[in-house]
Amino acid sequence: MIELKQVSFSYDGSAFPVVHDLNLTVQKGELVVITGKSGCGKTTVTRIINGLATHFYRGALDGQIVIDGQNQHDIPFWKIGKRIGAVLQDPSSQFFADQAIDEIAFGCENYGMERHEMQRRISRAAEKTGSTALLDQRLYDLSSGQQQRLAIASIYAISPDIYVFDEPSANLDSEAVERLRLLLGALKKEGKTVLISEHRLFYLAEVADRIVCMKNGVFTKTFSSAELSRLNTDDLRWFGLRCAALPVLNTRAQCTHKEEAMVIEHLSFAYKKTPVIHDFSMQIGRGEVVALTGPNGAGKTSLARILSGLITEKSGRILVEHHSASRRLRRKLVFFVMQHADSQLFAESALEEIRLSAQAPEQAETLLESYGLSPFKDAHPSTLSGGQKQRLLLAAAESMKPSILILDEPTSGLDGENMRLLAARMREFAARGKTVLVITHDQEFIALACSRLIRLEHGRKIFDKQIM
Amino acid sequence: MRRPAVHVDFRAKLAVFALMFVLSALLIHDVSVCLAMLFMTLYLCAQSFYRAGIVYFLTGCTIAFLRSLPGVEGITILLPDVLLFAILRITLVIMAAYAMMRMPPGEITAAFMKMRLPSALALPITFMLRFAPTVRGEFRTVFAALRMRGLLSMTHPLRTFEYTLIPVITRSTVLSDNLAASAELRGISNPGIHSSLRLIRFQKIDSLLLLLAFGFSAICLYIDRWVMT
Amino acid sequence: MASSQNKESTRLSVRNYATIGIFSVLMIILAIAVAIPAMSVLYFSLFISSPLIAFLSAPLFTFMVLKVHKRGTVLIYCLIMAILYLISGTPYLAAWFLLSALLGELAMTGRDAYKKFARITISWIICSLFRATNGMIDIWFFSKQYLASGVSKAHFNQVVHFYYSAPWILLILLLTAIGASLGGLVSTKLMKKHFVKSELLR
Repeated sequence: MIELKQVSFSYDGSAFPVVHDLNLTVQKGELVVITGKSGCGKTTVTRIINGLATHFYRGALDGQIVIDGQNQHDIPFWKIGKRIGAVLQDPSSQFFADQAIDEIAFGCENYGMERHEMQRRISRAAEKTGSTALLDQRLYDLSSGQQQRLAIASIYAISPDIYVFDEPSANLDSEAVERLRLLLGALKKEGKTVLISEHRLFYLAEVADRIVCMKNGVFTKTFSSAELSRLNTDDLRWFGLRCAALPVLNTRAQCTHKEEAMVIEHLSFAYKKTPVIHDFSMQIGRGEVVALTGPNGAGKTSLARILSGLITEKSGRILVEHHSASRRLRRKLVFFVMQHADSQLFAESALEEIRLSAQAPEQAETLLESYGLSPFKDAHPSTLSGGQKQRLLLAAAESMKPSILILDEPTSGLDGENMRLLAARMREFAARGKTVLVITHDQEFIALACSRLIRLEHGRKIFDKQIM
Repeated sequence: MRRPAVHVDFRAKLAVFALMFVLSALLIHDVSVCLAMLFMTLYLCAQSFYRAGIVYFLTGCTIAFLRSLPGVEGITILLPDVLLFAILRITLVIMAAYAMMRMPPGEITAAFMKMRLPSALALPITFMLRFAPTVRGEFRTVFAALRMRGLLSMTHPLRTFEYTLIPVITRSTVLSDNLAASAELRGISNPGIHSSLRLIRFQKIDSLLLLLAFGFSAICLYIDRWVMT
Repeated sequence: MASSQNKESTRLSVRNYATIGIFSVLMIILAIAVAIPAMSVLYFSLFISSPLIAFLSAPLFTFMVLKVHKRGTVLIYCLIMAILYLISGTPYLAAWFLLSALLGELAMTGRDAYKKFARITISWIICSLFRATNGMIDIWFFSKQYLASGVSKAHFNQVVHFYYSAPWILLILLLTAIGASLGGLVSTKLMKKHFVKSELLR
């Protein structure tokens, strides 16, 4: 059981609290979701419960946190993990070992578990999370979904009573989200207490007991999952939430009649003799927003890197605006926004970031304003929120006036509001006669922004459909 | 990942390493160094590090050959003979070190625990081992982003340096915090005893290896001191 | 109502160890990235690689020290370097780096030294100077054996005189010290421009 009593918290060095006057009781065996816009404080709530807020980030806490009847303050930090298991947001940045089996063993080793017992728990945890086949694989080679299952397995092996998740679906494709849903159901069945901070609600509708909404650091409203499914789109928007049920994509066979912006003919690529893309051909028209989907390792990112001129194709031909485009030319005409905005921002302020590479630096402020970033023009890019960084990066891309824009998983970690903003931006960009290619598995985003859906598997095109 | 054909205990590896270091500091003649290298090649091959074993051995032989060319006391001004002399001997020690460096991270951590290495050293090294393979990818993303933005220029090296370093530092800080948090939440700072999934055992094969290593070292030393002179 | 303000303890935490480990990796990789192309100019790489590494790695070192800002950071960084030299075939250099660990940390004694750019730069100069002497230590270590291997004493003296005479050594050390100080200067600017502003550092 988790009890928060009048809890307020501010991070080290900050005068005003991120969350305040929180009161919440999560009963044993309950699954509670905390939701709200980015920056509402939901991640901080998970950190307060698992002890990171006070012990790791060294912030100032007021109020009381009671874990199974014991004041959390009295539990030494290293012991908290035995009672509360935590799965952090990005699965790839929280694993420790090289091999999956060592990763599951990690917690057990630290708590000095006997070897025989450890082996028993590892095989049970692997079985429970469906990762038995992954045990002797290298973690770097696994997909986000598999890495996350192992992160959960690693905690399951310690067998805490409470599980805390921070945006577990942020980096997952739809198949992995479905597995996560089943796993959450199984944990609940075992009588575990589960707390999830999340803004994608569709997969939680059935398993959640309560959904707590948060705004500006306080809990504002609580819904049961039945009440949630009755909310209309406007209500959801008001809370900045994602939709409660995934939209269905209506598609029909592709028919091309638009003016071509890019033509790809028989493209192939191999990485160190491992074939990545086979004989891939397609045409993209001006004003199209194309969604590129497919499982991990299908070659989507490699394709984007080739099209944007970062790497060279093995064979095939790429035409941009009817001209055969060399790597060099592609780099000028195509802009690729990669994952991890942090690695792509260089300047000391948002305004400077756009001026750095703008073709018309004097328009930087106007551009910043159109992305709703004017209030942050002097802020250092790394102090911005995830959604703001993404927008700044897009503004910087737009300042270079590319004719084709490629984005890699732009909605991972974005809340409903930011996701809808991005979708609107993409449609607007396309309306100006530009072309957008988005690598994504976010069905809600595809429904809002894209006009065409292409699926890639093992480097081959599986289908190419028009979205109606 | 290839599994080693013969599993050698890390203490045996450490002993072989120490032995090779002593040899490198004692052997005067290149021929005896090459003989010791031949032994190390067999040692590496037994652990299925074929390529490394052969490459190092050939490198050693090439250096010894260069040094043996008549009338050469220092091949050029640029590559002094005494440096070749040192490199040849360091290569011998590197061969012994190679078997240690290629241990899987899980085993290295377990070995640290067995050796009771203080956590002030064991922890940073554990983090290093985890982070090292991802560094290339991090730099690659930054360079790709610089290229996309047209900021990668040789005419302003200092600016390019700044633009490369800033995102790398930002990302590394985020990653290091995430890693540390996930480790803390799984009890890494438990002051009590930690256990290990990987068994660390000194087996017969390790004793045999040590015996062979001592015997071979003695032979090398004997040849070096009494046969060659 | 219970209120708690967690004062940062002076002991290094797991989070600090992670920072030290990860920035050490970055510095090592940067050093390798500079040293390998520099080797193409063979002997002259001594004059190029050490000063260049001292300059380029300075921001990483400065950031690491400022981020952790606790006693022992430099010590642990240098000890890690020592272990690295130990396992990469030159254990005698490890002993040499133990000395640099002590001196580098000694430069950081006194209150708030871990927050002062000047002190951090001094500590970095010390670490860099020790690294610059690697090649000379190698020769010194093997010189006795080398003489015993039958080269003429006259030739040896000539070699040693030419490559490792006092003026040359001083020049290398001087260049390295200049590289490290310039690096310190540039990092001070960078830290203030970016990370103090972004609150990554306080």
